[in-house]
Amino acid sequence: MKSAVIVFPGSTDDLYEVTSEILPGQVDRIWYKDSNLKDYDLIMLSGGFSYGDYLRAGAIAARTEIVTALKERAESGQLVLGIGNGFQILLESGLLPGVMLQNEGLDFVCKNNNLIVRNNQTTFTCNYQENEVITLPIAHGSGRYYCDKQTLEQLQANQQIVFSYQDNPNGSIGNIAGIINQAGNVLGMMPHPERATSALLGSEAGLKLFQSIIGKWREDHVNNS
Amino acid sequence: MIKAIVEIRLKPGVLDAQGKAIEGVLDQYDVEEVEQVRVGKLVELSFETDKDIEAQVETLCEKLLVNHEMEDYHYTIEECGDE
Repeated sequence: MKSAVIVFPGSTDDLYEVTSEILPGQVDRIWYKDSNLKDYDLIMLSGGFSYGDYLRAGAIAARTEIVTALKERAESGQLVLGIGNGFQILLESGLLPGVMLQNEGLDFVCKNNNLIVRNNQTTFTCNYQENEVITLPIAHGSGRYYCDKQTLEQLQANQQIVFSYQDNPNGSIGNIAGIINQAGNVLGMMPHPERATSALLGSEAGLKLFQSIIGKWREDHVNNS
Repeated sequence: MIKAIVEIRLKPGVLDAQGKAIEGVLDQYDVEEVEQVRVGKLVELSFETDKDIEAQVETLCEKLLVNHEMEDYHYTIEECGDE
């Protein structure tokens, strides 16, 4: 399995550090000025504050050449995972529908939050139970997901809401914490599964997300050979 | 020099958390008649040319400065002396 984490000015590095430990095979750290994204099974966008969240969170990163390349890879079916700021970039790039606004309470929210796994039939969540309640850390100032009524109805009808907040910390419409595209290969989420992969760090509830991806990859690549 | 002044506002109906926070302190100023506060952005673009300014401003608004899912924009063009 070959994976990549795209790094922008202002990205945090936890995702790269953690996934290089837990994913099988190579994980590359790709600086945003490169645009070679061809041979990856999983491409990840990490949290942080790319370009200082200037203009709108994720807006400037979403307009770089590497994200244009990412869009091509996503359209050809490669797995894409955006966490925190990575989710914001996916929204701004149009890979996922909707936008992210400043938290309703204006505060930067940094705490453990309970989530409900709404859809466990995705490549990213198949190791969770349906409606399983998990605790993951959140850390964001602009996490209020918003979309028009029609988009929300589509998300609901197509089971694209993968994670929802049990206690909504930011005013997100429909309590949305994470959504997937219709094709099922692009997931964006505000909570940080990579910060909950070891009991030593307080929770390992995020581990199953990565194990889901690994399991699916093995099914497709190892068991068939 | 020509300047384009772009005003970007959240669409009506999108909750403006900053505006709400400001509304919360208005009663200190004896201006109770203010019904609502909404905070927007102002972007000033200075041009070296006077060619196709409107088309350039609109391209930038459509592709970068404005997210149409949540924002509307309006711009004016001003001619000003060299600064």
